[in-house]
Amino acid sequence: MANGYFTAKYEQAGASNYAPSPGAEGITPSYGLLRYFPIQQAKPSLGPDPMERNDELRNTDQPLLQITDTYDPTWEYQSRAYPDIIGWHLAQLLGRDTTSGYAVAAGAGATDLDGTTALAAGQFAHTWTAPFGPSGALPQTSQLLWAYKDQGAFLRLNGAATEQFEIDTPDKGGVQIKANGPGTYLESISDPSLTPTYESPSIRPFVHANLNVAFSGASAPSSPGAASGFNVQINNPVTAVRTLGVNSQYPDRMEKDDGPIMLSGSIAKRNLTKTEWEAMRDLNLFTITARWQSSQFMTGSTGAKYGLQMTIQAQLVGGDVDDLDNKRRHGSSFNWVAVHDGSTASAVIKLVNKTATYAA
Amino acid sequence: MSDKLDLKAPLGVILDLPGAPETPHTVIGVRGQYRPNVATPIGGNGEITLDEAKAAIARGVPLRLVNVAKKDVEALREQAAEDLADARRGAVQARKEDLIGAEPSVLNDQLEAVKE
Repeated sequence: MANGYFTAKYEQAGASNYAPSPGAEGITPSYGLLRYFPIQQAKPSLGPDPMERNDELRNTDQPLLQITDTYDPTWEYQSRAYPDIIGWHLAQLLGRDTTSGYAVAAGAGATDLDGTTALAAGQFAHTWTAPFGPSGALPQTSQLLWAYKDQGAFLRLNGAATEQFEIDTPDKGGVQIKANGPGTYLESISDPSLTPTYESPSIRPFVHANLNVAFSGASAPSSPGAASGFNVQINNPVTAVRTLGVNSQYPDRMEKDDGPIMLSGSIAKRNLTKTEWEAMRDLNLFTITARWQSSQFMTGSTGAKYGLQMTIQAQLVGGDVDDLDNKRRHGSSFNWVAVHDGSTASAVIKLVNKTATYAA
Repeated sequence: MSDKLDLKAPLGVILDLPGAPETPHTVIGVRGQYRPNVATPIGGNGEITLDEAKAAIARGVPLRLVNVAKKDVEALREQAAEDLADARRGAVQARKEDLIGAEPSVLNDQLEAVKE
């Protein structure tokens, strides 16, 4: 048997009230549905900051015994980008609130990423549209569990928010997702006696060959170079805070921090082109459509396929060109950021998979 | 499928993990593949027995016994066999990847669940 497992469940205000409600020491919210993740690796960090008292005059020329003071737990996660797993992370980051940025479509009228293949029963299209949710001052948080089963150690982090999320598409080995962020209360618990349950290994993660990146719009570079790499970072400012009147050494609140959720990333080009360099110089606003269209049908051997698409209103805010030297090919890379021009959403993310909803 | 279980009628098992995608799943420690929306027949050749299913459920495994209509049993068996074959192929494919971290042990568990 595997030597451990990792689970998560959203924290929410009530059994059917999906508003965020971060847990903390002594604060137990309601929980969403339990999920198991086929992680590559994940870990919690306690973030202890003991109190040193060597600045006290006690006439002892030795370090004094330290005492516990504060803890600032954090977490890290890495897995392949399975179509149903990545949706959990997007909902944790961008919200599960169907009145604020998140929507699910199914049945006749809903299609996969090609825009024409209708979704069959049990197939769903999830869309997150900027400005992202959840509404209000609280981010979506979760309770995370690391079961070091063979060590008999079970660590549970409450109030875990995602601060940074990354999607990378290496040439091989599958699309990678990484997430990290702060939490409120990390505790050691007894064995919860759970049985890990994973999707069949027949469900494929997105891979490099699935990805296509296209530029469009009047100000898009007219002759872009061949793209060879593309990654996405989503930064969600959050902060764990301590309020008064709470007898805990841990933060008791997880809040949104200053600034909006930012999508950014980079795109690598095999060949440097003048128009892309000029688009960077002039901060041209254009659309980047990144589409991971799986080759795998969701059901049987026909119909809709798994897919993930990001439609980004982008500006190239930096980049680099290869040194001019004795080479026959010179490449480039550009850093993009999703922005709002006052009319069009800075980013729309559509995910097609077999999970009915991330709201529950 | 019926809510009230009739042990004399054909039985199957579904994945009792609310919110799980409607795909086949491996429940670690239990042979076979299980879906939340489609029953996997039990008691047949290569399938878990009723006693095994009951024992697994008793120890907290997220499975649930359900009745299946007699006329559906063959189709469900075909679906289950297809899910097993897909899982085996998927596992073989996954083994070719550079597995890191927790992946090899999870894959071994999955292979154990679907081996012939």
